[in-house]
Amino acid sequence: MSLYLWALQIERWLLSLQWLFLSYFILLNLSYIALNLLSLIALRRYIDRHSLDHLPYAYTGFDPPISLLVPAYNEEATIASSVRSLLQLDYPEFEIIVVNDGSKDGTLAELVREFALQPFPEAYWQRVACQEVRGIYRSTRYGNLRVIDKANGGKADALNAGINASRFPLFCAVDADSILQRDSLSRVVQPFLEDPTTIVTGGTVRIANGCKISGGFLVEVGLPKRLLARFQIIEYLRAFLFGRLGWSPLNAVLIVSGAFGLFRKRDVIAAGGYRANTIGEDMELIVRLHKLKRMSGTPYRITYVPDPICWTEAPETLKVLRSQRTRWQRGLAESLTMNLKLLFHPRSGAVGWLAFPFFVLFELLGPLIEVVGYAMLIIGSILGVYSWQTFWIFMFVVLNFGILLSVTALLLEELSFRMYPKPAQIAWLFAAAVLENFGYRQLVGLWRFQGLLRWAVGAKQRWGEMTRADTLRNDTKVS
Amino acid sequence: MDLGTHSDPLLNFALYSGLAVFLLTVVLLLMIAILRYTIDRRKRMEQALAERWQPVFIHAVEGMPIEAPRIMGRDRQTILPLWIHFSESIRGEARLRLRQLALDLKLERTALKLLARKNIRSRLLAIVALGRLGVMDAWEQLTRLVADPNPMVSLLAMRSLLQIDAGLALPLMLDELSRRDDWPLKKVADTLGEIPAEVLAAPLLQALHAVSPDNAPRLLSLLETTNLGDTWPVLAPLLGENHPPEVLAAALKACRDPRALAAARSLTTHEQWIVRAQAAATLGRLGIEEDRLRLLSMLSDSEWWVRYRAGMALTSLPFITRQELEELQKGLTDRFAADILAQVLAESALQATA
Repeated sequence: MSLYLWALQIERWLLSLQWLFLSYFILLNLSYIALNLLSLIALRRYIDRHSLDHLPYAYTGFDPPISLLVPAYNEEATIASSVRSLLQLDYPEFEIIVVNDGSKDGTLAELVREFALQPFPEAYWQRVACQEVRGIYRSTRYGNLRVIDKANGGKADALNAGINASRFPLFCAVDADSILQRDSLSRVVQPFLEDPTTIVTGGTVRIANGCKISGGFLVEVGLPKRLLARFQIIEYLRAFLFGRLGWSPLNAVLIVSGAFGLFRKRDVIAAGGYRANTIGEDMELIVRLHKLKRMSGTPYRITYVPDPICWTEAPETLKVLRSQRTRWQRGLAESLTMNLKLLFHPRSGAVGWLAFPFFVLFELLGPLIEVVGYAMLIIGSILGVYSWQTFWIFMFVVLNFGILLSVTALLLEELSFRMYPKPAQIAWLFAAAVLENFGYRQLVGLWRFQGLLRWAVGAKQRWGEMTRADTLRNDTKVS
Repeated sequence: MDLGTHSDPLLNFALYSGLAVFLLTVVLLLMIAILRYTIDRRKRMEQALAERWQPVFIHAVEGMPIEAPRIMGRDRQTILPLWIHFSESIRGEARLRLRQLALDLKLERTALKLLARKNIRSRLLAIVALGRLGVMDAWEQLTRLVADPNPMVSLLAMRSLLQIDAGLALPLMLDELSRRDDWPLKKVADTLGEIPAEVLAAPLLQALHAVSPDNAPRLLSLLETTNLGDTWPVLAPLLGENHPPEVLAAALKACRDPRALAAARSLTTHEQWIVRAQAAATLGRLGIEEDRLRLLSMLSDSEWWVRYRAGMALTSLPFITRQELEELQKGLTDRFAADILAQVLAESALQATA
């Protein structure tokens, strides 16, 4: 074939691809706008329903006791302060089970020393599969604290061991490096009290960078100095305030953050617990629970609580952020493909007909389409298939939609929790909402594309190596 | 159609869409600014009002002479939540004095106006205020709201009726309780916990007599939060083996009477583990010497929770010493029984040293 014919072929190919890209772009933005509207309604309802929550009510023993499961791997530096702050949570009855997942550092020794642990002859009851438990310790100082020491098996495996050792009907999976609000358990348990068919609730996770931490609790909300962390604040607002809240009224929430989620133990055990062979164990479990419940026709609810109840430290270097995002993308791919039966199944309802296709099209394949779309636009413009005017108009539309969605998330935040009290903070967040569209979002798209490729070729990855500023637990400002 | 031609209508459409989105973003930004300004202004106003009225409410609570400032019409809706907060935080005479102050200020009129609004937040506030103010005039409106499909509105209306006249409202509450399974049990227990036991006892026991097996567990679990005296006559009929396991478990959990022993013993072999576990716990509370062997055999049950409850029951029986249990544990040949007894012994030792 001559060069001319090749050029014609490429031109034809690029021209037909433009339709795919354009249709995808329109559908994506329409979906996000619809989710925004749903979130707005859900948020309004939630705030109205909880308008009297500040009134004092006595505990009457009907608050279901909760087992807090804290998987820990090489957390020697922070584990003691994490547990200390968990012990101060404001809830009538809870136990803390720290699962030392074969740490190579002194995590276990630190726990033994700080909390006066002693080996305990517990009749361990293995209800879900996990690696060998080497020992169980109990604090002689805090009756509600136990530590499981087990062979390394990954976060999912550690959580399974925690489920086996837990006593209470509800368990809360908490990341060891998360900062919880003192009343987080009281808030996240509400859907279980209001609707007995509730099996999971997830709460909003916010970025702790820039906030003031004292005694293991967040005392003042602030903004991080680094732009990279500020971009992530906008991302989290988008992801939680409409990415998850919007799906909640449809009972189609597919992600509950691994950093903080409350589960009915009976249902998780019936589902076989967490899958140890996935890195997105938190999402996979939620999708699997949807699948099992929908297929069996059992009434259930998986609910999202919009209150900001958990704070986590965001990566502040590109290297760590890249690793996190590629991991998340692989987790997403695994979770969806492992439960593909849900997709358009006659019994799958809003999950299988709306949320699942949305996640496949926009979250899973989104990075691929975005990367191909941008590449096509650039190559097409260079080759003269499209005019540069077309290129710039298209970029103008894409960037404006990106900014609009971020500003909508900011508006939802202002309408609801107003966690950033100073006008200057909102001004900075708006600036971040604009600036993130110029490079950051594209970069994240590229990393997610890499994650997708790694999943496709089956590369292995286990516990996320996250370099954190150990100041998160100290009485200081995280920067 | 080709995106590459600048006169292409699609290109024009894209350009105008982009401009529209840009304008929408600017509008949203302005909305955020206006929202922040109005909310901050409202908060400052609320703060100023709170600073003026908090000392007045504190004086009322403490029974000191009060010189209440005049309330402007628009301030009433701000003062009402503040008054509710004070009223919900105190009890007894102090609450009555605070109520009188609110009636002197005619806050019940504000509450009645709010009740007529569509906004759910205003209505919830009004419902709570009318209950705390004991406004009999609102009885019919509140009774209608008990049937509201929103469980929060409905249960709060019920609570307010109970606050206005507990004796009159209680039969309605117990009647509704069997219908409203969307009422969170915790909130029901909170509500009933505010009623004096002498008012609650007779109607609740009467309701338990007439309860259907489906509703029995909910009603039975409420027994735990109340001190009703002799509950055995209502519990006895619910301990027959023909009842569903949830009813049996809930009834056993509520048993505090030695007359329940025979039933508890017979239920130790029930096919459902939740019943066996509660039977073991009941034997732990009420058991006598002859139950020792029965509990020991339950240590080998196939279900962990039954083994655990049996172990706990053994450690709580007053006529078995720790030393005896330790010797028993050493002699057990069943590994599951030995493990669970070792655990409960270690737990009780830890509790003793705590």
